[in-house]
Amino acid sequence: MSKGDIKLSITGAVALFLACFLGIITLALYGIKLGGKAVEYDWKGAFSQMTEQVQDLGD
Amino acid sequence: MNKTEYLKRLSDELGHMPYGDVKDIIQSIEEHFDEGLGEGRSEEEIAASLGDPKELANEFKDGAKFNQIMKKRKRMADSFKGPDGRGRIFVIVFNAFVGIECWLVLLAAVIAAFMFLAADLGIIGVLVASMIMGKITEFLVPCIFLVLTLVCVAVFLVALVILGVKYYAKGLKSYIRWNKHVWNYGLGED
Repeated sequence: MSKGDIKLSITGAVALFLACFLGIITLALYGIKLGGKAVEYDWKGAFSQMTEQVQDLGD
Repeated sequence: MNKTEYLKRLSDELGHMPYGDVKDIIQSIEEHFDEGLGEGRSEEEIAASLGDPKELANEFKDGAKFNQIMKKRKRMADSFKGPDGRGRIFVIVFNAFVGIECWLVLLAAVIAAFMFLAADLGIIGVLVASMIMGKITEFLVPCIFLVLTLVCVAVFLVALVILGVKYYAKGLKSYIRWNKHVWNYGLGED
């Protein structure tokens, strides 16, 4: 294995490590963002609307 | 081919090896020529006995020493009694059921890495374009991190593809050489 190959292998390994690290941060950021949206969402309103629709169907 | 031509071709073939190693190899070949000339052989005869400079260079690249190569050649020349039928059957059967399949799987892996790289670059392009055009506003920060992640993945894949292609070609060359050897001399010799 030549010096160039060793350098390239090290670059690849560092890039893979960074990709994993940044990937975890990205997932966490998406999780936080989506979690925040889920908390803000009007679940009560949506469920009551759905209940009304089901009741209408029953009538 | 005379001594000078042989040494020039050999040093050309050894081009990628470290300078010190090439110097040692050339020195040992020169000594071999000198010994042969002392025994009354011509430069052409000695060059012919050494074989193709490219093949000799490949053996040096595989890490063999000059004495080992000459011993091996002598042993092979002494024991060679014509093509070996069992070796040829082995090469055909081995390649039909194992060899070619393995190389195809490895080739598929290298191509897959290349395709992943292309897809990765495509996604990066689309994300960056969307961000520049202002289509991503709500998820901008996670998107920036996603692009950074994909850039790192792309760097990793570039390294993987370059090393993969290089060592695939190198391995395939050695494998073909080994096949030729088994085809000609059978499995008994190293």
